[in-house]
Amino acid sequence: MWLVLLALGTVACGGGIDRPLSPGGFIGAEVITPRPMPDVVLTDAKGQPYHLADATRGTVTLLFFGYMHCPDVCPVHLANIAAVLDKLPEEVSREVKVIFVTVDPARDSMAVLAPWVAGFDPRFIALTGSDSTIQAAQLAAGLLTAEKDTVTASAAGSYLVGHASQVIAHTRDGLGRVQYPFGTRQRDWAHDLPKLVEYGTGP
Amino acid sequence: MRTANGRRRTAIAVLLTTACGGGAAPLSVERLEVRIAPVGAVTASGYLVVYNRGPLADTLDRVTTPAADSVTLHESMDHGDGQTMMMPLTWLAIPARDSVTFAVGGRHLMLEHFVTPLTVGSSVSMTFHFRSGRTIKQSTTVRAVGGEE
Repeated sequence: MWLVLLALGTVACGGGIDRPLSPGGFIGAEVITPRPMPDVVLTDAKGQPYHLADATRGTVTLLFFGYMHCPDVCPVHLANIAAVLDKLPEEVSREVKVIFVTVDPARDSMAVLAPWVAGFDPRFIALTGSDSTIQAAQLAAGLLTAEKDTVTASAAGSYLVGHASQVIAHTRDGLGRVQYPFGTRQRDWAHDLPKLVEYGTGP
Repeated sequence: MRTANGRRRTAIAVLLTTACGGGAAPLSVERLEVRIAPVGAVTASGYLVVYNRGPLADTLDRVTTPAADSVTLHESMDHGDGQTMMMPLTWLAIPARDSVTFAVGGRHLMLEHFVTPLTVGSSVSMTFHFRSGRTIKQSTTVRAVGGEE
């Protein structure tokens, strides 16, 4: 515990920060016109409907679109967030929901997606849905929609998917206020997650 | 650069070792890492540095491993608007007296169609095939993705 506090203290004192903070004090990029959590119904690991906006109301939610065959960007984001949540005090980590929506529902069946996502952290939520719902969710979140790369698709059925690589952090009011591009480091998350949890709770 | 100092020191140490012990090997593959999601991975990524200390350019044509039926060379490209696309590289030039780095968020190897399930701790050997006919074999232990990079 002391170690955790010590580490946090160091980060907060500026030891690890080498870029300017946003007006709200975040290392992540604050969005000028934050969008609300997409009002769509996806499907959770149990096959139940998951109303994204309702289910995340009142919690800090990190929303990320990706796919399982993505070897480089998607798993790194998830692994880094999981590692930081593990080190943060329970009061902070329990207030943060992490949602991974597949943009490749054809290959990422829930049978394989759910254990893959839970493997990073059992609290992470894996969601899937129809192509049109997933597309609508990305558009509502202000992201470019993921695209299957048909040019390089191989005969064996392998293909790559271009997708938005940023994680969108929604504060408790449901607004996607801060974005985290690929390359966000664990110390950046360790700095920002407590601030996101605090956001809007002050006097 | 995101490269940690510790990592750089390790790299230098490795470099020195190779340069002293290896004799006249102009090409080398160093800092090979294979990273994987902790559970249920269907792909793994490979990172490394190819050094060419010789006076002649070469080309990395192909990478093979008994662990996976497919190893492809990719480059993650950020289009500036947050959209990331992976571009496959059919081959990669390794200029003379230069090095080419595969690192997280940039060039990487993508291993897929695993022959047996690949997990953290598995040992993987990889062979790098160069156009000059030279091949380099390297082994590494699979590690989990993520880290303070």
